[in-house]
Amino acid sequence: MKTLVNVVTNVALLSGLVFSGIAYADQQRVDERLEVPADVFVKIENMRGDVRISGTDENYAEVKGELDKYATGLTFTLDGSTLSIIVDMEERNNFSGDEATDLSITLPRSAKLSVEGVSTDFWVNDFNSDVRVNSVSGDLEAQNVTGNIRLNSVSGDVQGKNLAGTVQMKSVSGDILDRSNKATTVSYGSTSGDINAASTASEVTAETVSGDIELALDEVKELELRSVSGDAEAYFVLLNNGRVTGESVSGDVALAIRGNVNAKVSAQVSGGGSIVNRLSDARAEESRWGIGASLETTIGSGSGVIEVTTMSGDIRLTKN
Amino acid sequence: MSNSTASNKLDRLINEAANGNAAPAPERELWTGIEHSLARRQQRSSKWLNWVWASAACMVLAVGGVTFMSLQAPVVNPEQPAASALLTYMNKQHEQQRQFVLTQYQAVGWNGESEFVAAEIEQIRASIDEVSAQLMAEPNNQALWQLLQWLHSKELELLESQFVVSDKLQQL
Repeated sequence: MKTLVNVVTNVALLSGLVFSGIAYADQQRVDERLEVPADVFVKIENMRGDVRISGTDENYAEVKGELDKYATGLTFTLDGSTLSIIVDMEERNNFSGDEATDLSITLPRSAKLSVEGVSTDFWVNDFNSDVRVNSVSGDLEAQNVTGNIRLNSVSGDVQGKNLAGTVQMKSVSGDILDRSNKATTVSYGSTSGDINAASTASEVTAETVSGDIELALDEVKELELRSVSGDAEAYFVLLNNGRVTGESVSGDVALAIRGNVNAKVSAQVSGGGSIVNRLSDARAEESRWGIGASLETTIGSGSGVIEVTTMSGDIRLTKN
Repeated sequence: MSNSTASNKLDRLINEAANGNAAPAPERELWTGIEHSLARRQQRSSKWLNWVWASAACMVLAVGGVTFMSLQAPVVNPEQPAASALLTYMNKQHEQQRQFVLTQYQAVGWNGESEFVAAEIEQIRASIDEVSAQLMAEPNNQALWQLLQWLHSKELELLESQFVVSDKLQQL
């Protein structure tokens, strides 16, 4: 009996090794390198798999890894100041199996990137340039990038860490998570995904349909929050002459402000929501029909503006 | 004195009962008093009921009045005709854009049907109706106008993303 078990186990292990060997044998390995200008424009396209893109101080482009098992080859060409790195795929409508692209790409730190994928997860690290990444169902992660950054995924999550410059992060159904953001201007957009960000940007926009927004900000000059049914919450310092607007249909809007507040405050609830004001002693007036409420008050010098409107959500203005 | 009289009366009644005489009768007619008493109670209870009915009627009148006045409020708003025209124009323009986008996508082979973010699109369309209705009551609320514009653009954006997903993921 023991011998039989050993035989079955060995056959299973052996067939597993053979099968995995065949699977890896299907994927073409690549290891290519080119001299490129420091400010090269790089176009990267891949249908599915994982692609890691890193910046370096040297002026070369390098691609290493394995191509999708349905790939017909790799386009890796420099035409003037444009470098194309494209995983060419078979003309077909059904790509099944796990043997997708797995590439590591190294480029000059100041290279401008235009990256496209369908079901590809992208990691982009260490660039001082313009970076645009679009993926349909893949996750995107960018770290230590300064420049004009746009990260868009339709159903994947979008994550950022140590991003600076001008940052736009969007996902339709995925979540957005941004940490240690040092941008001057930042824009977050989701449809059903949540937005959770910590940024020192002075100009911030965040909008969602049904996801929740949570922002931990620093000194704000301009903040715009929009939501349909998701709740929006922001912690910040309001600069003198700063402007904050919040609009929602049924989501709650909560603003927690640190430090001194000098602003004209206008808050309006049209439906069944309520207004809580802890910034001053002023109290919201309820509509004479019993539905809806409004608050108009000036705090401090009134140099800034806070305007919040909801149809049926609650508005909460507090000192943090 | 009175105790002995009462005791005598009681003894006489016991004896009469023991001898099988007729049932004891009251010394005077009591039914008239009983009738009065019952009528008074009935009167008292109907007075209480009248109060209940009066209160209910007041409540109905009050609720009806408030409802009537709230329904009347938008009608007397002088800004309403202009707001209504602008609202109709904006919603109509949006509907045209929406139909145009869908027609364009249908021209390249997408039927406009997708489960992806369908719930959110539905939510946005309901919100457009909700905000439009509120704008009739609050035509001077700038924020609501902005919210409506944003909802319009968001719906078109979501339609686009539905198409992108359907188109690209078809290949996988």
